[in-house]
Amino acid sequence: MDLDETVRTLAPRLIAYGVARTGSLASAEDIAQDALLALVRRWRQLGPPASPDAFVFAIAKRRAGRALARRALMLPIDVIRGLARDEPTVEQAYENRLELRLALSRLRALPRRDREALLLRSVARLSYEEIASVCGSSAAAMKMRISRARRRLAASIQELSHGR
Amino acid sequence: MDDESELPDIERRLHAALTPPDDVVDRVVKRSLTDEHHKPRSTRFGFVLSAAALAVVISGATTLWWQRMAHRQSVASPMTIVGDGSMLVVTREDGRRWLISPRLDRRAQGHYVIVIPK
Repeated sequence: MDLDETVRTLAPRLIAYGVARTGSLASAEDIAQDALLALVRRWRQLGPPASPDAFVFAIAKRRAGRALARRALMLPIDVIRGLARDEPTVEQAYENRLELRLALSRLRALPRRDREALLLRSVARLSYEEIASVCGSSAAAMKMRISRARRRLAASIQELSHGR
Repeated sequence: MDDESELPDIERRLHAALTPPDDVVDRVVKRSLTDEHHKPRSTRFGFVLSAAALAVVISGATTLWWQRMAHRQSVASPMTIVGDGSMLVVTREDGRRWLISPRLDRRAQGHYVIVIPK
């Protein structure tokens, strides 16, 4: 297993996961950066972890939770700052992409735990065992949760297309 | 039912929408591998540890100084000095007394010494 190759493989998946969780490319970049730095340090000091994927996504999951909490606190200040500048931020421009907006809006309609598990499966592409390790549950439970999330997401998108 | 193939379109769209720009990926990879923009954790940990140790030393020294000052104030309790001929009687509030008289061999110079602690 090669560190450089592992980091290159994980980086886009971590950023995608961060964007899906936070809706912000800047936050996603920070989250991916922190998780990968932790992996690089761990790798160089103690060798590779048993599952580099589970290792970085466990960190990314925690960081994303903190980023969301921080943003909720800072939101009023950011709104004022955005109004003062009167220009779209990088993440706003990114979010303006229709597909992303649609996907995120449907994802956000899912219960938090279902959404997290589905993202770890379909965006981060972790195995059920790795998702179970990140979420502190069993693989069977994760499989059920992800299946339920997929059904809900399909129903939600169907509703949306019927409503149009 | 095979969930993995149930929603290929939705997940394909999700992947397409969430795929980050190449320059962002490259930046993250480069920074992670070079670790230039972050101080090593050990340095930060060492700094925090030093600051904490310094704070403990300062607070300890302050506490010690404060206790000594308080002790000095308590020791300096009122006393009475009464002259009895060539002898002085010093009495403290807690009852301890000292008798002070001239030295026998150097009476002419008038130097005084404590002769009996009681």
